[in-house]
Amino acid sequence: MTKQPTQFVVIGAGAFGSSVAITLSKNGVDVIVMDKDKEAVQRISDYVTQAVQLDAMDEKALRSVGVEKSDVAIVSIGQQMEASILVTMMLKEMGIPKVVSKALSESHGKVLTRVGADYVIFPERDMGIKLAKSLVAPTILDHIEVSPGYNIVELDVPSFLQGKSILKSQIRTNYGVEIIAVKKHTPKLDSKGESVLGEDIIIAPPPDLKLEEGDVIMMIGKDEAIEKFRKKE
Amino acid sequence: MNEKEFNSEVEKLQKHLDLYPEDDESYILLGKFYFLNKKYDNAIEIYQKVLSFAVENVSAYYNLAVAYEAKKNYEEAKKNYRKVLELDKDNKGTQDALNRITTFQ
Repeated sequence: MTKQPTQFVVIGAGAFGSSVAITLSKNGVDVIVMDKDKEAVQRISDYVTQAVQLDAMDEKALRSVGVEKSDVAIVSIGQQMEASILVTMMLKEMGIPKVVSKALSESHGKVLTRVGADYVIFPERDMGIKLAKSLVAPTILDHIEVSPGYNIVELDVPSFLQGKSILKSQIRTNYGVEIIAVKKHTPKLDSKGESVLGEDIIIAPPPDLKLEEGDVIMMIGKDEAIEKFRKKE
Repeated sequence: MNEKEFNSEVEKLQKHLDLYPEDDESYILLGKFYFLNKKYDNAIEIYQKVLSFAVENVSAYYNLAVAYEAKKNYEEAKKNYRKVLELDKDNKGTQDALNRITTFQ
């Protein structure tokens, strides 16, 4: 069984690096954050295990805070491609098992991979794609690509299915997609007695579950099948 | 609760409100009762009535926003959540609600 990583280092405390660091920290792991900028370090220091002002290009400085003991390093150095490439290379040479590097372009990404990055992410490109997809298919609330050509999508129950059970709606037969979960919004009162919309998620819903207005369905299928379903709305 | 019991409870509240037509708390209670029973249009009508005589009632605006959200009328929901923040700028639940419904829809 693979050991779960527990020690993370994030290099670069900009918008992306900070979001990653804070979310990791909230999930109970140790996170060291480093940045050259003193203010960036101060801003994040209350939210992570340790925040250090240093130049990540300085190997001695990195070792002085024990970076080589990390399980995972995330390199999110802003606009300086050269620095992110050199730091990625250095971290791999130090023996850090997994290095995730943020790329600013396809060519930058290729170089990062070549120097040893285990995983290259393109946050702006990926967010751009996600935004464009949601603008051209506004009824799809969210989607996850499972494999090229296959997606899990989340969408409101369309009017032609409202009031029908999953079985009677014959979604699988008619469209070749499978409903894997149904989210039902349930009106409740919160601890202060104010109205709140609770969310009940039914995984692997039974065939006799009735789909109602306001429900959200999560379905899996080929892109063409999902599109055929969506066009019926 | 079946339809008969529901109507009976509504009738009791309504009788009280006939005697005390500006009892905003009881109106809001009635609104929440409609909301919990998924009668969102009725809930909206009640909260709007409260706001016609209690123009700065934060609870009315908040519950009205949630009822609109339940109906997926996000524009009206946002309008009323923002009104809550205007009257109570530190209302964290409201800021979270605005973040939640501000999507690409």
